[in-house]
Amino acid sequence: MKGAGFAASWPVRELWRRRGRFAGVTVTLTVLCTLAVILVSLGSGLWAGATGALRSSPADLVVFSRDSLSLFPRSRIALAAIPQIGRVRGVAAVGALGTLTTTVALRGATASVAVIGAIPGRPGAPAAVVSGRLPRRGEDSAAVDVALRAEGVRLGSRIRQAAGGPPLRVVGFVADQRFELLPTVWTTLTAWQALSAAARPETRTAAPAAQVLTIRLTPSADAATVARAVDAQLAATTLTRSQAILAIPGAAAMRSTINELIAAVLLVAAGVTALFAALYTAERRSELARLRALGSSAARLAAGLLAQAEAPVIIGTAAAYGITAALIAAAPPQFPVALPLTRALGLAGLIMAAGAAGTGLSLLRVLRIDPAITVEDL
Amino acid sequence: MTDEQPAPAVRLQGVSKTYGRDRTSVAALRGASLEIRPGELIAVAGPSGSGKSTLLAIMGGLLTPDQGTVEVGGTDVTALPRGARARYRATKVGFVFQSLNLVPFLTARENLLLMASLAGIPGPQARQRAGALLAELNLAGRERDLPGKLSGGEQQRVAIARALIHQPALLLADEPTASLDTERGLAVTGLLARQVHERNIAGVLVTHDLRMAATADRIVRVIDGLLTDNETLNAEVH
Repeated sequence: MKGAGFAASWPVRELWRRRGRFAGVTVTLTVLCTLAVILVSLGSGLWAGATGALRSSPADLVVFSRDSLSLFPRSRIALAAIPQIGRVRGVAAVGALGTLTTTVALRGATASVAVIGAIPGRPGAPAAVVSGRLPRRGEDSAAVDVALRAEGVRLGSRIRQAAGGPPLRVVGFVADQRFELLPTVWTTLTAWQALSAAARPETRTAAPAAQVLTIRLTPSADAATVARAVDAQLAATTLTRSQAILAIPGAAAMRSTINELIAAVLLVAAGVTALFAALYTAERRSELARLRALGSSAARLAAGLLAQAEAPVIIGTAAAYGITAALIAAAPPQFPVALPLTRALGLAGLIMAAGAAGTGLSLLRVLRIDPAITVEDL
Repeated sequence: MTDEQPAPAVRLQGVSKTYGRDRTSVAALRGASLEIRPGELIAVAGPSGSGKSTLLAIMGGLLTPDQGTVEVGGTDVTALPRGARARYRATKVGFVFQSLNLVPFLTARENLLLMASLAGIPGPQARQRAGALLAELNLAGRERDLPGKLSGGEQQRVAIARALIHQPALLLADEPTASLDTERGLAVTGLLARQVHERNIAGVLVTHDLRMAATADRIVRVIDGLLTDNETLNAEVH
C-alpha cells in the first residue's frame, strides 16, 4: 500500500523501545528452543548412531530367520540360501550381513565396537568410504568408523578382538554408519564368522551362515510381493530396510520418546508465547483500539501482533541453534549428536508454527477490538 | 448583497442510537439532525451520559447509528462497510481523544508519521508536513521526545498536529481539555478553533465545560439524546 511503510514498522519500533518487556519472554523462549534443538540433535545423533549402518546400506529388503523376532543377534540364515533367493523374481542381487558387538584392543586401550561382516560388492556392504577403501574378498581387513581415529587408529593399523580371532588390518574409514550407538568395523563376512566364533562359540553353526540376507530389488519389483515370495521359500521374515531399521533393539522406542519430549517442549513454548501474547494484548487493548480508531485495519494490527509474538520466537530459535552448534562443536566425536539441515529447518518451522498457534487466540481478540472504546463516556 | 452559505461539510439527519435492549435500553441519541459548514467549529456540550460522545463516535465512523444518515463530504458514512469505515477514519477524520491520546512508544514526530502512513501519504511528503505542523504548533525541538516526556498541553498539541497531518475534512475532539487546567485548556481549544478556520474544515469539540465551548463558533447542547442549539435553548429557558 502507498505510504504504508511507517504504519507497517510500528511493531518493530515498539519491540525496540519496550525491549525490557520482550526480554523476559525472549530469554524464556531461548531456553525452551535450546532444549528443543538439543533434544533434536541428540535424537538425530542417537538415531544415526543406532541405525546408520543399516540406513546407509543399499539393500532394499532384509531377511531374518522366522524365529528370530527380527532381531539381528537371534537370526541365523545359511549362506546356501543365497542362490535360491537370487532366483526369486524381482531380486537383482543378494548379500548377507552379520553383526557382533564386541571389545577390541587398540594401542593398549580397549574400545567397544560393532563388527559387521558383509560380502564385498553385494547389497548390505557399505557403499562408500571417506578415505582408503573397502575390504576385499579373502582379506582380514576392515573399514572402520572415523571416530576410532581419536583412539589412534590409522590406515594400516591392526585391530584385535579382545576375545581372539583374526586381527583386522585397517584399509579404510567410514562415517555416519554406526550400529547400536557403537563405531562400526566393517569387514568381510568370513572374518566376521571367525570373530563371532571366537567371541561367542555357542553361536557357531555347522554350515556357513550369516545373521540376515540382504536383497536389492530390480527397478520394477514390488517389495511386498518379493518379500512374500522369499518368506514362502525360506521360512523367513522379510522386512523392508525401513522396517528392519525400526526393528533394531530400542531404536523405535528411543525415537518416539525423544519425539514426545520435543513435542512437550514445543507445547510449552506455544503456551509461553500464548500467555505472553494474551497478557500483552489485554494490557494494550486501549492502545490497539486507538490505532483502530485512527484507521489502522484489524488485519494490519493482527499482523503487527503476530510479528511481535514471533520476534522473541525467532530470536530464541536463532540463539538456540547458535548455542547447540557450539555445544556440538565442543562435544567429543563419539558423543551422539547431529543436526541435519532438514531436521534443523523442520524444527525451526515447528517452533515458529507453535509461536503462531500460541498467538492465535490473541489475534482473534485483536480482530474484534471495538475502536469505539477510544471515545470515553460512551 | 446575497449571503450565500457554503454547502455543509457534515450533515446528520434523524440519527438515533440506543444501547441495550428492552427494559435496560438507553436512548443515547433521538433523531439528531445537525449541519456543520467548512471552517466552522461547533462545541457539543452537555452533562455526562447525555449522548455527546455517541454523537462524536457516529460522526467519526466508530459507531453505526440505528437510524438516520451521516454525510461527510457527500459520503454517507453509515452506509460504508467495516473496512471502508477504517479507511474513512484514516483519510477524512482527524481525532483528538480525551486521554491516552498518543501512541506512547512513538516519538511526537512518529505519531504524526503513523497517521500520515495510515492515510497513505508518501514518506517524504509526510515528513515535510510533520516538520511544518510541529513547528507551527510550537513543538520544534520536541519532535524526538516520547509522549511520556511531554507536558499535558504539549501532548494535546501533538495530538492536534496528528489530527491535521492528513488534511481531514472533519476534526473531532473528545474532551481534549479534560486533563488540563483552564489556561492550558483554553489555549488548546483556541488552537483547535484557529486550525479549523485556517484550514476551512469542519470541527467538533465535545466538552462539558462551557468556558471551553465558548471558543467555538456555535454551541450545540445534548440533553437526554436530543440536540438543541444555543439560541433554541435560551428561548426555551426564557
